[in-house]
Amino acid sequence: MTERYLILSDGTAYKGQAFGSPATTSGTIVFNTSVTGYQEIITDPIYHNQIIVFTTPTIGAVGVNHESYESILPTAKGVVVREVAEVSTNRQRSLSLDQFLRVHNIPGISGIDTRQLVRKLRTHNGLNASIVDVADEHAFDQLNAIVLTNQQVSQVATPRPYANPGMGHNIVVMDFGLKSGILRELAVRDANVTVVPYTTTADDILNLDPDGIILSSGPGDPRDLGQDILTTIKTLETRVPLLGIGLGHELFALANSATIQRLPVAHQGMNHPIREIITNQIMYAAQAEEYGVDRDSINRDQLLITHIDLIDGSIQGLRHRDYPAFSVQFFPDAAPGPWEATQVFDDFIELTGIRGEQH
Amino acid sequence: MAEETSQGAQTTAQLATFNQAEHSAEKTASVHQRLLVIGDGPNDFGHETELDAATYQTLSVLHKHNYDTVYLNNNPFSFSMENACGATVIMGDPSDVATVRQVIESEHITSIVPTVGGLTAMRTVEELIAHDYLDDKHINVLGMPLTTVRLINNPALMNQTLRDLGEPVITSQVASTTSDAFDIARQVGFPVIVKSVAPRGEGDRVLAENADQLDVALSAAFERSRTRQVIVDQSIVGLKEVSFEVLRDARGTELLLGAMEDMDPVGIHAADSIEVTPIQTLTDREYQKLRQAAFHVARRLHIVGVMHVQFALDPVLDNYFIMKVNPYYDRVSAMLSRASGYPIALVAANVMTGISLPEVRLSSRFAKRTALIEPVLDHVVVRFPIFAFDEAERRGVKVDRQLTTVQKSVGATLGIGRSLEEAMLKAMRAAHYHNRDFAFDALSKLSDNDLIQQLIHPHDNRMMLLLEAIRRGYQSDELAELTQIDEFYFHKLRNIYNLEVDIAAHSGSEEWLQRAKYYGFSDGLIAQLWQTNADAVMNQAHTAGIIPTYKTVEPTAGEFSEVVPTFYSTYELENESRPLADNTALVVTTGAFRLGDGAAGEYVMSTVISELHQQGIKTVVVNNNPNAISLIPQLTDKQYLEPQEISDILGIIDLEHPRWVFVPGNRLKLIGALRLRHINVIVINKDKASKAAQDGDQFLTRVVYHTNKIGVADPVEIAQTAYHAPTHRLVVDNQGVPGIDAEPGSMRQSGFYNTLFSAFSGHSRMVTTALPFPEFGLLNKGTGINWIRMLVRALLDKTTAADRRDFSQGPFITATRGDVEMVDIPVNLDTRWRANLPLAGAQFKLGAKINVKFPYEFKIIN
Amino acid sequence: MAKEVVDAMAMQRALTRITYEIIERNRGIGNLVLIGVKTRGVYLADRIASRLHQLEDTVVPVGQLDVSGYRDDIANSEPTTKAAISNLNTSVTDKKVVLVDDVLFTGRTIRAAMDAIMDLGRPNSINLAVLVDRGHRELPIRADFVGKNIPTAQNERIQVSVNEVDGKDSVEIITGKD
Repeated sequence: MTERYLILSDGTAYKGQAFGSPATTSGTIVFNTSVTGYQEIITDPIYHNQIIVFTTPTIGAVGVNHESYESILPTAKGVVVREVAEVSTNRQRSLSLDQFLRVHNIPGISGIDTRQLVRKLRTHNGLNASIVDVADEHAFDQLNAIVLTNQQVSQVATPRPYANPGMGHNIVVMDFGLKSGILRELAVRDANVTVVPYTTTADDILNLDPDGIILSSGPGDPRDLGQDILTTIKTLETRVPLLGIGLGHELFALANSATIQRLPVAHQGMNHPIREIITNQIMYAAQAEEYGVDRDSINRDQLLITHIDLIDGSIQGLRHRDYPAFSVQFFPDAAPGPWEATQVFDDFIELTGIRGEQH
Repeated sequence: MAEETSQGAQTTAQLATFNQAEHSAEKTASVHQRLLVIGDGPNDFGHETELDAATYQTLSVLHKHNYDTVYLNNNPFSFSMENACGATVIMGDPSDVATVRQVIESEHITSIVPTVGGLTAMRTVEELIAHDYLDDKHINVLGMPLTTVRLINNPALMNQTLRDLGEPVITSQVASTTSDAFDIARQVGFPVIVKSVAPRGEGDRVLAENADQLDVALSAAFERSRTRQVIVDQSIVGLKEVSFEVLRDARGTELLLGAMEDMDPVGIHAADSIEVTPIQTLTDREYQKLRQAAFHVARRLHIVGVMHVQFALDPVLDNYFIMKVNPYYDRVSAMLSRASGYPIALVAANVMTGISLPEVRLSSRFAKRTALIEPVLDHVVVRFPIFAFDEAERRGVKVDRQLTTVQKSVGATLGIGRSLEEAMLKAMRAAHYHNRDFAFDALSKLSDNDLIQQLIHPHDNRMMLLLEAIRRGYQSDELAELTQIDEFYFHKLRNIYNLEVDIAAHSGSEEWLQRAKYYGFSDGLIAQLWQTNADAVMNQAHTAGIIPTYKTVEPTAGEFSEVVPTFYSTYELENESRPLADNTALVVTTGAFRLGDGAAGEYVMSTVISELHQQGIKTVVVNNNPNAISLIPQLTDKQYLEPQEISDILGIIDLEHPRWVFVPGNRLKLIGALRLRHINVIVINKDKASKAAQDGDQFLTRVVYHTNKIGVADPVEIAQTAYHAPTHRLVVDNQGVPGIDAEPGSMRQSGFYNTLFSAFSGHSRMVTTALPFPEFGLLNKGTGINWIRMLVRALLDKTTAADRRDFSQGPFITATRGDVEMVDIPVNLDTRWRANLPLAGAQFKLGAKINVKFPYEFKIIN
Repeated sequence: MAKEVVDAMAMQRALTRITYEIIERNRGIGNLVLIGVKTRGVYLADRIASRLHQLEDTVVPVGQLDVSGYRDDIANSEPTTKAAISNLNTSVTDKKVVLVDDVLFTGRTIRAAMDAIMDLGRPNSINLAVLVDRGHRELPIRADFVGKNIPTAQNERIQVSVNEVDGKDSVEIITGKD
């Protein structure tokens, strides 16, 4: 058993046991309170350049299986947990988590008092961390010297368009760091999907004659993506039904002149009640958010607030008053996460259907 | 900021009803509401004090919302009957329909609460419905519509409902004759499960693997059925068994309170299985699928409150079956509530009255809207069953130790840790496993053949057996195949085994001591591995600064600042438990149920706690029984969910520095160890039920109070009782029992004692012992005076003038109700355990009831 | 034989979508009046009004239209009484009226409804929202907001149930004997 260290930019060091890759890495440290779905979480591109702390005490118990990839090449920077189980054989489990992380060059560290760590992280947002062999001055210097890129989307999104054919509605997905769950839900609804790079122009997208457009989830701060994308969204929303998810939601808000702020504490989990305002119904969904829409900045003549997180009050859904365009901050693809949220895709497909018939 | 809901401003006069508009399932009561909470009746297998706990919490919520409430029960060990939060308490049999009707009429009841009285209460309500009684009287049931109540006791109808819903259930058919039943078995193939339609008493599920077993199972099942019908089910033995608990409000908001998995596959009664929460071996897809299914069922059954659904999951074929639907408070609710700190009973009671989940207000200790957060854990909780086969065998009765679909365990412990290893070892330790059971050679004499047999057909010793198999070199995949236990558990058990080997090889090593503690090894086990004694290990750990850190049991995995005062120990960086004020009492309870006086023990110690609180003393409790009423956060200022070995208790004392430590009288080793350290121990005297009671199990007793503190005669006689198995009675006139002298030899400390006299041989004195805890049930319920509280006051030197008067009134004045009898309930041990000789006697009971001729209003002076 | 084609969840979602479309189409809800066609259309109109209230914190007036003389669920039936609007405490003149019905079939009920509305005043516009459009129109009438298009045979019946009166939310196709 190899000892390694998790060091934080506030100067603290935690001793633990290494698993996964022996690489030394750095990233922003965040915690996720989900009980299940570690493979989906680790492979979600939203965790690009991040070190993920799992509050659930044990991960690895169901190995790694082909149904639970949210991207083919995970780019998280590390996994922190109290215990890791090296279960690898049996039914769908082809790889153990340990083997999987080795293959993808992601280090893990176990034996950490993750509860103490999380109690710290909930009041110290945006700390950086490294997983290192030795917690000496040099390691801290390296950590403090590190400049994390703000070009996360360009590093994880597809550089060229590709098709995911189906027999139903023609949907274009703008990829900001797409997770597979979105494509999976569209496939279940038999959509004919074209995934395009996030830099694709409105004209090029409209030339594909879409029935609907999805702005995918993805990593990082939406404000780093530039004005061109907002202009594209502004054009698209008037022409075709549109759904924004996660980062796509934040971009939809920005395009409609709302502002975005960094949350005091990042929230990652699937246990917050989300209220759909129009029906007053409550549902649960996976959430992973570091940024949120500033409520006061919303122009109510333009946007309706459709969903609210009842715990932190964050805006979880918006809808354009004049166009069939809406967005959700949470992850409706439920991979991982509660299934009731997937009805967002039903709503979207129905909307595209109606517009399709009216063309 | 989260928006406040504009609806339901005034909720106290509103009750959940059904078949209403989508968002307006609340209505204002037009008539005066009077609720009847149906009690749980006597304790039994699978019925400890979890229902009493839920009742107490429910009564407090109803009181807070100004409901006019009546509580009907006849359980002598009911804490709620003596602490009813303003409810009118009726002493009477809640399982007797005539009694319930009588109470409904005399008390002008308008609504019934059936959800904290277990299956018995559901049956009672079902019988009331069957005669159209409730409809005729315009009485509604809270928590679910009448149609749902009907389903609970009718498996065939339930299966049909679930099938119509598209939820998979096992093939299940009703048979009226043995021949029909065999036809079904031939059709679906062995093994099959047999159960009774509308059973008398608890409905058992019996596995039959061949024709002989089916014959036996059928005759018993036909016998128990009120309709002389049985159900024959396709067997799903070997699948993964998991339970999901959901909560639903009248507006249709649903949330998952938690889920737990059984280590053992389907085929072993869930209560006999080792259970783990949170779920360990399900993928997210499997987990969400079952969550969805549980919601689906709750919606269809219009549940307003809690519901537990038990599933059999087939991970290979990627499908599942619904095995059980319990839309009422049960042991799973209790376990998950203890495990997460989410106050399930309180929230369920609020929801039942029509308050929506966003409107539920919890105490300020919880973060805002905690009621709406789906609990997530950053610890592991293991529930470990307790078997009492050894007690039978000590009496020369041979029992069948093989675990089946019939519950054989009599209690359970709970272990919490930051790893499964730690949680498991703590739960086992709390179950009072003797250290020798952990020894490398504990099962070394078992033949390979027997080992394999027991791997396939597990016995009560299976944890040790699995470890022995690992020792003998069996591979995890082989074991998984033989036992149908998920390989993950063998990975964990192998860790425990490897640790044992490593620890043994590093005797005296501080590093390994730290590591051993980190994974939950007790001082005793380490001592054994190091061939020293537990004290030496404890001292070494203390010197090396290896001391427990206590972490909060709360439902948000550290995301929010919940100040739930419930803790468990581990060995990590941060300790979250801060000592209370210096005016603190630590109360060690009676722990897990075994055969005998478990419920009485909880009742007495909870009353002790309640009285300490009454006296303005801060209370800290240590217990590990997931069903214990003493663990509910409403009763104490602080709870430690911990084993009760000496080092566990000392760890807590080191932190809390309590002024008093209250300990039940049977914990002699603990009392000794604490006194040795000059800790102020106050013993709540007790003895087991009268072992000396031979003489045809008929005798008379005098109950006396001995003290030199309170200024009354010593000893002072307070009651006489007569015992004629299985009935205890308060004697209302002197039946010629001779006077009693102080027996200093047998009355060493302040407390209640009883002296037994033979009923036959001229009332000759047999023995004087500390008063067994169950006798307090008869004493308190029979006299309407709370003698336990008086004892606590006396022990604290706080006896009041009223106490002195009660003490000195003498035996026949306090016994105000001569018609009150306490009857021991026979437990079906012989059939459960398949004993070769009858198992009878006071040791082999789990519950009792108060028999009354007519229901009457019970009042007690606390 | 009854076959459920819309369950409670789908029905709620359809009403939610119609509500958003009403906001979209009318550029807001000022000047809006909802008129529900008795019996079930009234409950559907109430639900749309309650959704609008949740979203916009504005109370939209809801009127009830009694067309019991018309049986749009049976082809070729002739009216026996005139349609009448009740419970509406505002004028319809210059208002944007949204007529709400459960099923759109021949269109005859809707024509009668429009007549009744026009009798009361001169609205700015009349739109039609229906939960189910089952086809077989006999008049040039088209719904502006449709919950669900369910093509049906002439001899089939559409049964819309609402919780308020039927104890459940569903749309079923009834075949066989009427």
